[in-house]
Amino acid sequence: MNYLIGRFLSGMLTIYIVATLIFLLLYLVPGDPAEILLSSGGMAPGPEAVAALRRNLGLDQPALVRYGQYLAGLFRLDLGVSFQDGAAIGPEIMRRIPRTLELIGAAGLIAMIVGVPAGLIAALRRGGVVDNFFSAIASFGLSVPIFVTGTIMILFFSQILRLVPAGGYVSFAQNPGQHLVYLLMPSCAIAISLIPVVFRMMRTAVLEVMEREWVRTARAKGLEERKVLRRHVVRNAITPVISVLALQMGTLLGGTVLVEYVFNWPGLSGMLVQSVEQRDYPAVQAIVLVVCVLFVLINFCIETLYGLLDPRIRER
Amino acid sequence: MAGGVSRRRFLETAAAGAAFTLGGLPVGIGRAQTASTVRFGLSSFPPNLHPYEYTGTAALSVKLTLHRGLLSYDANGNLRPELAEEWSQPDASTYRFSLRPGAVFHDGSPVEAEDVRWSFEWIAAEESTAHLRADFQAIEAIEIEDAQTLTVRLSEPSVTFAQTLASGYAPVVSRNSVAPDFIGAGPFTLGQVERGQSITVEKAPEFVREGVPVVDRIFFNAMPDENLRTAALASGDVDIIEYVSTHNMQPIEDADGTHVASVNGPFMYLVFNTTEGPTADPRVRRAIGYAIDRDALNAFGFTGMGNTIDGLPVHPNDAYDPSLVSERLVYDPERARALLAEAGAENITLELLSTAQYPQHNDTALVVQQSLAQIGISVNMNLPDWATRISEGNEGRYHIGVNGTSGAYNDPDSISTWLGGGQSPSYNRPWGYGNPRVDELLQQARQEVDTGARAELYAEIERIFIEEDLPLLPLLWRPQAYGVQDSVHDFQPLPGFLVFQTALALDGVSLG
Repeated sequence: MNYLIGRFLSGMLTIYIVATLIFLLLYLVPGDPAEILLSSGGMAPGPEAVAALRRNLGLDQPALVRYGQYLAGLFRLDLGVSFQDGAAIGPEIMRRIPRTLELIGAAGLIAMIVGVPAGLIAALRRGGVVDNFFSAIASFGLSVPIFVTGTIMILFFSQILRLVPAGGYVSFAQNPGQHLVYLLMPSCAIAISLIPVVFRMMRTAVLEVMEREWVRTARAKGLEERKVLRRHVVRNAITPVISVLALQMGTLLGGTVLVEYVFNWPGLSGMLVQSVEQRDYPAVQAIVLVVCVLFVLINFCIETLYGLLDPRIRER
Repeated sequence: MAGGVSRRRFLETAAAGAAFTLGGLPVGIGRAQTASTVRFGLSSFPPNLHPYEYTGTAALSVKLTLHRGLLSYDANGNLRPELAEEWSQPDASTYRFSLRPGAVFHDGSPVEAEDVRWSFEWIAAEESTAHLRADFQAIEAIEIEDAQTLTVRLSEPSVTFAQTLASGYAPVVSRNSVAPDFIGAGPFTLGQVERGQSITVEKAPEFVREGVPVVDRIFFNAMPDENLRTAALASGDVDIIEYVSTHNMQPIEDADGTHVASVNGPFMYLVFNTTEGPTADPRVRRAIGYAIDRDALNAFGFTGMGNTIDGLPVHPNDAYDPSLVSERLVYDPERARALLAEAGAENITLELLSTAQYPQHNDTALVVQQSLAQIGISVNMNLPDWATRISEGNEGRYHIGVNGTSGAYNDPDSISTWLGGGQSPSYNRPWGYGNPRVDELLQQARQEVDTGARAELYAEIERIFIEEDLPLLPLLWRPQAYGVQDSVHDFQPLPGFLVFQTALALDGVSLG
C-alpha cells in the first residue's frame, strides 16, 4: 500500500512539475497572443484593440497571479478557456483524444496485419530473395518521413486515381462508411512507418523461437510443420512484437502531428499545432498536460502491475 | 485519347472498378454532394467569428456570409447599397441612409436604424476590440429620423467613410445581440460547426436582396496545408479553394475541370527602421530602393505572375495618376552605389526580419539579400515563425522588414495606414516614420471632393515618397488566387485590395 501511495505521489509531483514548466516556457516564447489573434494575414490591429483584448484575456495580470489562477483551475479539473473563441478547452480535448487514438489504433492494426505475416515469411525464407526484398522495403519504409509518404499517397490515390478523398473527417455516428474512408489513408501513412518495426521484431523473434528446444521437440514428435508454426512459433514470437508495437504507439500519441496536418484529421495534434501558432496558451498548456497525465497514468499502471507481480520491486 | 475516351473518364471507370474490388467499401463517398452545396476549402479554421475583430482572411470569408453592413461592393469593386436601400452624401461630413424595407436579422427581427446606431457605437466604444474602432470614432453623431432612416455626421469631412462602411468589418448586427453571439443579417445563417474542422452556413430564408443567395448552403472546410487543398480541388472534394500559391496556379489551370480565378491584390514590400542604424539615412533607403531586382523577385518567388510596383502601392484609381510623377522606383544598381557613397555607408551590414513560415516572405528575403550583396551591403537574416516575427516587428527590431499586406479599400487613402504619422508602432509600418508634410497632404486628400485635385495631392505625396523619404519600399503586386471547379459559375475575386472580401461573391455563385 505504501508502495502505491509513493508511486501516486511521485506521479502527481511529475504532473505538477510539468504543469509549471509549460507555464514558464510559454511565458518565455515571444509573441503576444492578443496581437497574434488580431494580426493573422498581414493587417495590423490598433493598439487599443490589442490592449482591450489583453484585458479580456487576463494577459495584463502579473505572471504570479496568472500562475495561481492556472493552478487553482487545475485543482478544480478546469483546463480553462481558449483565447481564440472563449470555448472551454477540457471538453474539446476529450472530443479529440478518441480521434487520435483511433488513428493510432488503426495504424497499429494495419501494421500487425501486414508486418506479422511478412516477418514470419522472411524468417522462414531467411537469406533468400523474399527475405532480402522484404528487408529492403522495410528499410525504405522506415527511412521515409511520414509526411512524404502522406503527400505521395494523396497525389496517387486521390489526385490521380481519385479513389479516396484527399483528406478530412466525418464522425462515425454521422456516416460510418465515409468515416472509414477518411480513416484509411492517414492510418496507412502511419502504418507505413510502423510496419518495418513490426516486421523486424517478428522476423527476429521467429528466428529466435525456432532455435528453441521445444520447437525441435515438437518437430521431433512429428507434428505437422504448419501446426508447429501456428502453435509454437507464432504464438511465442508475437508477444515481444506486441509490446514493441505498444511502446511505439505510445510515442505516436504526440507524434501524429504531421499526419493529422497533412490529412486534415481533427485530432489532438492538429489542435496543438493551431494553438501554438495562435499562441493560445491555455490550450497548449492543457494539451501538453493531458498527454503528460496519460503517460504518467500508463507508467503508474505498469509499475503497479509489476509491483503486484514481483514483491522484490515493492521492497526497493 | 483514342476511341474518344478521355483520361478522366478512364480514371473514373478505373476508380469505380476499384470500388468493387475493395469489397463494397463505399470509397469515393466523400465526394457525394447535393447540387446546391458549395464546398469551400479554407486556408485555416477561423479563430472565432466575431464580426468586428480582425481574425484573418479565412475568418472573414465565413463572416461575410453571415453578416452584412449598410453598404458593400459589387463584382467590379464599386460601392453598392446592401442593408441600406439608398444613400447620399449631402456634404463631405454627412451621410444619409434609408434602410431596405423587409431586411431582417437571423432572429426574424427587422433591421432598424436603432440597430445601426447600436452596432456603430459598439465598434467605437472605449473597450471595443473592433478592427475599425479608430475609423468609427470619427462619427460625431448618429441621428435617427424614423426606423428606416438615419444620418451619420462625422467630426471632420471624409470622402472615404463610405468605403469604411462597406468593409466586411463594419456589419450591422441586431441590438438584441449579446457579445460574442452577434445576430447578423447576412445571406446565410450559421449551421453546424465542427470546431477546428468545418463550418456550414445555410441559406437565410428571408435575405433581403432578391434572388440571392443562389445555393442552399456553403460548407467551409479548413485545410491548412496548401498541398491538401490543391489535391482536394483536383480530386473534386471541394469546389473552391483559397490561397493558391503561384507555383500551383498553372497545374490547376491546366487540369481538366478546374481553373484559377486570380487578381493582383496584396503587395509585397519592405519596411525600414527610419530611426536607428544605417537605414535611418534616407539616402541608404533610397539606395536599397534602386538596388532590389524586382523582376528577379517576381521570377524567383512568384513564378513571374506578380506585377512590379514603381511608386506608391495604389491600385488603378481615378484619384491616383502615376504619370504625374516622373521619377519612378526602378532597378539601377549604379545609382544605388552612388547614393551609398554619398551617404558614406559602403560595406554596411543590415539586419533583415522576415519569416520562414510563409514561402513568399522567405523568398522575398532571399532576393533582397542577393540584390543588396551586389551593391556591397551584407544582410543578416532573421527568419522566425510568424508570431515571433510580428512581435519583433512591432518592437522595431530590424533595419529592413519584409511584409505582404493589403489595404482596406482601393481608394489611394489606403496608404495612410503605412505612411501616416502619429500612429502606434506596428510590424507593417516603417519604424519611427512620420512626416508632417505628408500627414497634411493625406488629410487634405481625404477631405477633397474633386477627383482631379485629389490626384494632384497624391502625386505630391508620391514625389516626397520616392525622391525624399522612402520609408517603405513597395516591390510587387502579388496574385491572390482561388482554385475553382468549372462547374462553379459566377465566382470572381473582387479587384485590388478588396480581394479579401471576395466571399461577397458567394451570394451569386451557382453550381451546374
